[in-house]
Amino acid sequence: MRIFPRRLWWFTVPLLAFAAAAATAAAAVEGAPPLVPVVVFASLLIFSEHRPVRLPNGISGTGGSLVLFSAIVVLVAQGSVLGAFLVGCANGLYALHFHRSAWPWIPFNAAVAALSTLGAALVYAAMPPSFTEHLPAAAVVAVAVALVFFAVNALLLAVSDAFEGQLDWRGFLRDVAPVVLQMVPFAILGFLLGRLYLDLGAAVMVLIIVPILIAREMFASYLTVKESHDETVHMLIRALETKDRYTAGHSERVATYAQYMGEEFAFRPARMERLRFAALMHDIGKLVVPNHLLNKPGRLTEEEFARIRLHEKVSVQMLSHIEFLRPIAAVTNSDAMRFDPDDEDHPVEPYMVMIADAYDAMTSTRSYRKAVLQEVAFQELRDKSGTQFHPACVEALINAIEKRGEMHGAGFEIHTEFDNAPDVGLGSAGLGDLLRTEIAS
Amino acid sequence: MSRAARAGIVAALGALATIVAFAIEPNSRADELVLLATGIVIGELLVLRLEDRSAVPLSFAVMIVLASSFDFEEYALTIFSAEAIAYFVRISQPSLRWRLSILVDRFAVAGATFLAYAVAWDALDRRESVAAVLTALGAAALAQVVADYLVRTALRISPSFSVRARLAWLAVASSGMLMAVGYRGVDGHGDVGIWGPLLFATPLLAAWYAFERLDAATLSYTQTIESLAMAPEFGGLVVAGHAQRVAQLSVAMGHDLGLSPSEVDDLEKAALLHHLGEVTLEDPEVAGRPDPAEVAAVTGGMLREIRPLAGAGDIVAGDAEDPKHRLAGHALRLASEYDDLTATSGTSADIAIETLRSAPAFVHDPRLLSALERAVKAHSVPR
Repeated sequence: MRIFPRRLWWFTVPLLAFAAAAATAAAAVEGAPPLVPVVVFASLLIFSEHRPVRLPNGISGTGGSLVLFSAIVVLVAQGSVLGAFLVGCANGLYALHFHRSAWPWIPFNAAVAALSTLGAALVYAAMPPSFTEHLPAAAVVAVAVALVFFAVNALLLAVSDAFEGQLDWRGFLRDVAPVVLQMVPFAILGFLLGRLYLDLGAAVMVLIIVPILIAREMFASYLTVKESHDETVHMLIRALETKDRYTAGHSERVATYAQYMGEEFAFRPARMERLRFAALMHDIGKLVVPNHLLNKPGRLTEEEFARIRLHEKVSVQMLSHIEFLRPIAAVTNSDAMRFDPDDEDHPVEPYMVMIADAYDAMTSTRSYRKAVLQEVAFQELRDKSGTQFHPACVEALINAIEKRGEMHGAGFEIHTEFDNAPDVGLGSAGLGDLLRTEIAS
Repeated sequence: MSRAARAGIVAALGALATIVAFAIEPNSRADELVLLATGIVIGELLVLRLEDRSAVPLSFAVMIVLASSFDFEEYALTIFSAEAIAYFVRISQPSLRWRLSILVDRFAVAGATFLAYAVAWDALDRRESVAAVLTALGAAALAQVVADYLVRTALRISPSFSVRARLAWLAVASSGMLMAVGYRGVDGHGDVGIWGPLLFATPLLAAWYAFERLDAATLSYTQTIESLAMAPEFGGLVVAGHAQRVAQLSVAMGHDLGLSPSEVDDLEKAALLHHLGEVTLEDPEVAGRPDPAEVAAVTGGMLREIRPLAGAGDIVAGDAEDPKHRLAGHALRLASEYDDLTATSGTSADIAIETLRSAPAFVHDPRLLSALERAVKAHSVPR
């Protein structure tokens, strides 16, 4: 957890003073807030905020904003902006801060959340009843209130970042944009829930919280299964590396290069995920190849070569068993992956994996050959572009690597077990590069 | 075309039909009935999938809304029309029998929903209070579960009551009740009209999305493990189908021995992968057949490195401290030996079991042998 920066006190103390003054002023005007709704909403808010789910876009989502907007509707209708302010305070309370004795963060977060809620509640209270009682006008009001909440919150956090001397407006806006989008449906739903609470009582709250909690639990289970899947695939890679020392890090690098191309092609997350798995598992069939053949440093006999080539068929069979990889199971079949300009229906992913595999093969030292220079590898890819390799994929990989300023190949390898490898040569594992030509000759 | 895409088309056509209905009869509720019927068709496409590939459709939530706000003729006509359309839209169902079974189930559930709500509402003297309305809606939701259970039992489609199934039913019931309350209101309060079902369906749609993701991820994970289980077979280290058969037998034995669902799950994964480590050892042609204990140790070690497969690793390694894992490990080895006898040596099931029984008493626990025998008889595994 981040330590509370000393400089942030210069902002926190006035912030707390302002929050206290606002609360005192509200209490003087309105009197004491209604206890029951404040306790109900504050408890629900704390509960919701402690059950986040990390969404695929990287944001942690909770049902907290739903509860918060319901609270604003209910408490403003009961004439208590102070009540909304107090519920907002609860939005800044995190058990982790108490457990780790991170005391300064507690008043800071509570004040930021309370003032943001107060701003939203004041705007909502200023709306004429004709705007807030009927849909769809009320939905527009709900969105406006959510935006006010967000604007105050973002402003206070930006100022606090500035006090810490680390304000990056671009990064800040990039990070918060998805949060705003996520807040809008919750704001509308929260408004409706607040209206139901006012009309029908607290019992209806349960009806909306139950499916949200179930959705949350199922999503958490999904993330657990996904993590298990990832770990299992990495176990597979470790098993492969146990058999074949040259492949240390190979599958991971192929997956990385394939993802570079996927990004250049603006793949959506689901397609990118499929590409990553396919790239990680493209050598899965090598599990059935005897270890001594995989690690043979010298020339292979034709029989040995045929036996190694068998791994491609096995890979196709094994990957085809996995439904979401079936359409691109050909990533493991070098014949099927050769570029065919007339075949427009061929998915592009196998070409990407083939290029990534070939690039890594050329830029890594193996038992039978030292790594080549990056320029040589790029030239080789470009020379075979349009015949063996998909031209757009080749350019996508080269662009992506150059854009990142990455250097691979001779002189840039982090670690290799094969210091004595010859400058040029052949071997069992180089199925993607020179072996075919040599066999033919 | 994916279900979500079909649902999108149905939504677009439904919206168009709603506008037409409103244009023809602006002072009736025909447009709302059309919109709710569209909701039923979409709800038939968007289902909460369970572990056994059965499902709870979101349409059940819309049925609760309809049952609580319309008379029988309107209700029956809407349900009938929507389910008839859904029958044709639901094209991915495997067979005619299956689709007809689903149709029977839906009509039974729809009937039970209306009947339960009407009976409960009358029993509560049609009192417009929050408690009375929620009770009647709760009765309708409960009737759906009972009707679905009875129909599935009658059609010999085993109903699921796993934790996931219970959560699915709960999500549909609570959302249906909330959508109904939002639509009809209580004593003139809280009525947000057709916006109620539309907006209060959001949490249910979120639940559907989460169920879909979980289902897809679980399927991929299971298939990845099954795929890895094939590696020793493709490498010629074990006979074809060995892992799948041993897994089938082990699961049956695990249930028979009273293992918990998570222990049976670990046992199944252990059975599927119990030879995986062998592929990392030196080729038998070079080093000779590996010792089974070495294979178990290597495989167990590999699986233990992965947190979600650690239990399976304990079972394969056979040296776990947990007595349930040790028992599961014995069951796995017995099932594997049985399969070696029947599939590799061609021994009949009876002789294979007798052979295993005749081993010295300390080799196989008689309790496990009885479980094996029952599993072989009950699950018609290869004999």
